[in-house]
Amino acid sequence: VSVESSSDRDVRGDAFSAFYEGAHRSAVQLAWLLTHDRATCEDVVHDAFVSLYPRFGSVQNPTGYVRASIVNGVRQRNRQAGRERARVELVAVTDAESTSGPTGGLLDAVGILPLRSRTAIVLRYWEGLSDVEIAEVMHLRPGSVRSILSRAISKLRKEFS
Amino acid sequence: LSPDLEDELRAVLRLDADAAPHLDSTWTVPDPAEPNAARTRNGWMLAAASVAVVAAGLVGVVSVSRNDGNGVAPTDSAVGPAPSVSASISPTAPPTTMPAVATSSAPATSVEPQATGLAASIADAIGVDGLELPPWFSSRSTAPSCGTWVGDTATSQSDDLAPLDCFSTAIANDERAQIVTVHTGDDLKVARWIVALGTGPYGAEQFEVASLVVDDRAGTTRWAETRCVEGVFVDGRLAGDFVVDRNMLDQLHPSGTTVTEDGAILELPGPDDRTQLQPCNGPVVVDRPFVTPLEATGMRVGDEGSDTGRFPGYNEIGEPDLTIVSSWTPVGANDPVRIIGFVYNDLLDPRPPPQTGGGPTDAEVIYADDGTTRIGQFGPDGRPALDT
Repeated sequence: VSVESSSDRDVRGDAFSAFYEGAHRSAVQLAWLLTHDRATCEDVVHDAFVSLYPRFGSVQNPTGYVRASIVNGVRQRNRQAGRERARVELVAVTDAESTSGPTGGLLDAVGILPLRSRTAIVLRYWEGLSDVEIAEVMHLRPGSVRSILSRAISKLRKEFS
Repeated sequence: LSPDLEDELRAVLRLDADAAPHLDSTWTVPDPAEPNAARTRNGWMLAAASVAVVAAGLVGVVSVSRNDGNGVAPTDSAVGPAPSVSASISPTAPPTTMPAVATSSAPATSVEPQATGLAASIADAIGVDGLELPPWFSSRSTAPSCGTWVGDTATSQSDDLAPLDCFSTAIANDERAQIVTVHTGDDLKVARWIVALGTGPYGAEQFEVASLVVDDRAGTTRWAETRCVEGVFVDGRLAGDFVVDRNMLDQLHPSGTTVTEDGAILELPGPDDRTQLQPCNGPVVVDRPFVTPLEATGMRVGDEGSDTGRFPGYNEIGEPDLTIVSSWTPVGANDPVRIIGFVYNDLLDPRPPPQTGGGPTDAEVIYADDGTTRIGQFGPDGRPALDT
């Protein structure tokens, strides 16, 4: 285990702080779109940055790393007990910071999609990622992404119509 | 969706993102004395990957050792939060303190994730099909500080470590692999291994973790519960950050079946198929994509307690350890301390212990250690009442 000098640590800390400042808001937004739960959102985002910190500087794409960490974190939570699962389901959220508001029925339709489909939709239509980029974040093949998006869009069309 | 609706989708997601809560935490440099922790100005302190294993700590678990008649005597003290006296299911909070488990017996690092050349060769030897023994295993008879592995003989006691849940050192410095738990039974041996695989797509170190199952009765050897973990080694222990879960997603079909690389749908026999087969190198298809509680935990119904065991989900010094989060969670009783059943983790939901004299709790999928997954209930006495 290499020992990092205090000056190196300071440099890394400054760089990371700058990255954090720039990336934090969008990270929160991504987690929010996937969970609609403030507490989960906080935890997932902080876990992502905490995970990144010790390897910041060696990770080639920190933004992608944080994005993947958030998607992983949300998915892991979703896989936990049913109570956890219910908590991150958009459709189940009833507090003030939920799907209510100006977004209307289409967002509700997104909210009832399975987490994997919802993740793909958010990464495509909010993050603007390509199939390949989504595949990398979700650890899928691009073909699988296309398939997921196709099914999700079909379902949205049906729900929204 | 028509282009108009796609635009509308973008718009509503943008509005929704704008409505995300404003979290005003500000990053500060973590204290070097807390290498796995970070602190924000509003007082948060988060251990890496802490959340991922919280659920694993929601059920009181008894770590046990097994007397296989080979001179290793069981002990009778529970580990961590004691299970309920009157019931066997003991939901508890994650342990705040962990029992000391002879940490001094584990030599410092023997796994060097930076040295990936040999690690890669080991990974190749294991094979992405997950079925082949690594060549170094067949000639291996010892696991340093964990005891001896010879035939059906359980690992002998060493430095007061139990044969079960024995945290060992790496099997050899140049193998870049680490044995973390061992179970030896009459006809089945289980060892969990960590192998460094090198750098993942984002530059983080990846490790593959698996149970090696040697089934003497069936004459087979195979890998089970393969997981891909990104993490770092701290003092020789893998502090996992998150499970990559690559082909859990890739293979999981909405119907609950598994889709192979070529698109074929594989019907799965067990309830825990979804958490299998997550190697770092992509999807695999195996003969039996199904893992039993014994294979996942190294524990059996009837195993009795040991004061040298530990909680699944935590390493011996109380740090979260993703490498031992498995598909099954053992459920214990404490009179005597023993394993009475297993609950499939995706069904795990914290609940109060059944009331003495009351009716049975909700049905759970539990397992009776005879190769059959059964639907059953935990009765008022805390014992599993299995349907046949």
